[in-house]
Amino acid sequence: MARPTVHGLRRLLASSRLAIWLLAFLAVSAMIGGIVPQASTTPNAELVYRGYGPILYFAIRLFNLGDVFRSWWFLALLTLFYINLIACTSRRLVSSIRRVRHPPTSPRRQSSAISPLEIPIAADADAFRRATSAVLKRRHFQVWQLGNQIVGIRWRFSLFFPDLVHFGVLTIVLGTALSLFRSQGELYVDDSLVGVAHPPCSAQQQEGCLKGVSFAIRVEEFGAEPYSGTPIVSGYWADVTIIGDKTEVMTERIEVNRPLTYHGVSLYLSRYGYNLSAARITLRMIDWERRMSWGPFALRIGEALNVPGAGDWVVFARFFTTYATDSEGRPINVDTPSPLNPAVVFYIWRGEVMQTATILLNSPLMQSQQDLPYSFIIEKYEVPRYITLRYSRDPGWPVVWFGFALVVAGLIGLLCFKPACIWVTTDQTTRRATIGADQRSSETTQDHEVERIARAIEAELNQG
Amino acid sequence: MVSTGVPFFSVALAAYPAALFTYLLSLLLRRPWATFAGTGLLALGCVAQTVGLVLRGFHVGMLAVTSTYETLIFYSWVIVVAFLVATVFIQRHTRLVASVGEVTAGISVAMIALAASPLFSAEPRPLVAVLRSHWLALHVSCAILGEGFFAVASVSSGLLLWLSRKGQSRVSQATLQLLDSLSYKTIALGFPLFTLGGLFFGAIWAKHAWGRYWGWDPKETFTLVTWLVYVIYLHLRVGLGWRGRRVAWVAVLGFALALFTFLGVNYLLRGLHSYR
Repeated sequence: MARPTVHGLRRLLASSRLAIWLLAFLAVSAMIGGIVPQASTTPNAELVYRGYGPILYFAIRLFNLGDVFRSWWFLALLTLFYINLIACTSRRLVSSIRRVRHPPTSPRRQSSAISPLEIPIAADADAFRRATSAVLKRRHFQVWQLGNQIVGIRWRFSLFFPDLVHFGVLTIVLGTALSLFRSQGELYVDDSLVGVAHPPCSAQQQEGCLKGVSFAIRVEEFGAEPYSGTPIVSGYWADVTIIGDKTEVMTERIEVNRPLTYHGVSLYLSRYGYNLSAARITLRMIDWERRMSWGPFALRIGEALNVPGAGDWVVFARFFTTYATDSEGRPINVDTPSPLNPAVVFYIWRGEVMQTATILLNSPLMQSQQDLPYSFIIEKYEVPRYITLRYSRDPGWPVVWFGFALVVAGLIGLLCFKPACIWVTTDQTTRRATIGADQRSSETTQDHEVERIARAIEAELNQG
Repeated sequence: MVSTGVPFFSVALAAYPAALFTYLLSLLLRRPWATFAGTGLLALGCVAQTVGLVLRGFHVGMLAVTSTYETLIFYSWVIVVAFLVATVFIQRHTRLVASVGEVTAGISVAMIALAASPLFSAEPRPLVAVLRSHWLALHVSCAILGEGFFAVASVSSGLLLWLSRKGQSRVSQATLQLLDSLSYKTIALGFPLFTLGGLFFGAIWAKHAWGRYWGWDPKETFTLVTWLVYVIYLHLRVGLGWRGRRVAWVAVLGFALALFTFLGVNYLLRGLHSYR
């Protein structure tokens, strides 16, 4: 009984129906993962899930819908799909090889022909067979003689194109599995770290170094380019030197969409901007009521200044390089290649009462519209620029790429090469021949092809 | 204004409803000449849109698919092109051409009207740094080209479902088979384009821009879901020999997902492609 069970299991694993069910389950699962915010990319995911109500929250927790693509059931589905695809592909491949290698052994049934066409045999049987074979061969058909039937089959190799597509998908899935072993990291470089080498990480050093990489890099300079006449960033770049074995190997410019690859490691620019939380200002303060002034003071973000003789506190709360407001009037910072509208926000504490002061450095007179107890003169500001370099070594990517190429080749082949079977059955009694075509091909195309072959055979006979 | 193509898009916005009306006339009055006139109007609108797209492309410096406005215009153009290609398969059946053409023209009109609405600005804007890549044109154009054929397939399948519903006996089996065959052929044409553009070019670009080719971003995920639905369609049709109503539902579902992936994901879900 074991053998039938194994055989039945093999048939099930190689069945198209199972494949379709698995594809449907994968599609539904992926859809759920696309709709439910995934925990890895959602801040405060737990709060978000609780907001859906107790029933949905329970479902999310039970089935790990907050991390669908790494859940055990999704990976199990994917594994089963992979096994099914291997089984289907191998079964199909064996069948395709058998069909291509072995010639047809029995005549085609007339009943399976679509729109068969009859023509008279205006010559002896041998001449007719020769003419028919010649016509079919000129049309790239392989020809066999089976009794009173001549069978022509074209593009038999196209049977392999679905196998090529399937093999491509298998390769892609294999590549994504290999990508699980990729090494990657991110390097933060601001103005203070320009010209500083970042070596591979060691046991002693784990910060400011490159993990899983055998060379060092040094950022020589970085910047951003605006669109001409606008403040909008068109692109940002970094000049990076690769240092291998204490020798400078190369200096290249990395831009967005133009990564640098060295020894299998790719370097990308992932972010550019100003580190607003590290802003520093130098300011003076004027109290017009008491006709007093103080300063200069140096402050960093978050630092507070006690106003001499008044007991008030001034907190340097926020810094903007390009201050703007959104549609609801809330202050936002716009990413620009350079500060265009720098602004400082202070919180002024007078006892228990807090007042907010927004100082636009390009428009100091705006302070008078805010009814502030003090005037602030920002003499200097410094805000460091930064870029983030992402690096990764992905062993799966070349495999995935190869899989893409296989799938594309297979799909193009399926579209361009349709297998065709034409057969010509002769009846010496009635001296007529019937030309038939395979039902699998397009009806219109086959009608035309059958018509053309019939005309060509007649012309060939007339010439002979 | 002319260099942004907007006047030519307005010509298309006039020609497509005219085509829709003409096709309707053809169906009501049973006049084949009206079908040819409708197809002519569609072609006229398509030519005008082509000119507009070319002008806008020169204006922005690349294929005009850099904003929702441009992509909607491009999408409507692709749907009309796909329909005109599909008429090759059914050109002898004027009533079928009129039926499919009417709905197709309606979808194109809806897209151009949406683009022209106050929701989207027609002004070309400079691209953000991460979108400045030739992969943008390849990825978006191939994906939408594929979806254009899916649109025609869903119209054909939708008509099949409508005409073969219970109680409908006036429509011949031959007509239903033609609709089914048209649906299959257009999906067969669109599927490789969508696979190449939507999935492969997108993954290659993501690797160049973000350092990873797949991140289960909602846009990527729903593109995959759409692709899986069409894979299921092809396996049901070719592998299991399903025909008619059963497989038509899958084609309609596939295009509904394609539309959601195109617009819904950007505005309803959060991710790298989100405009929220």
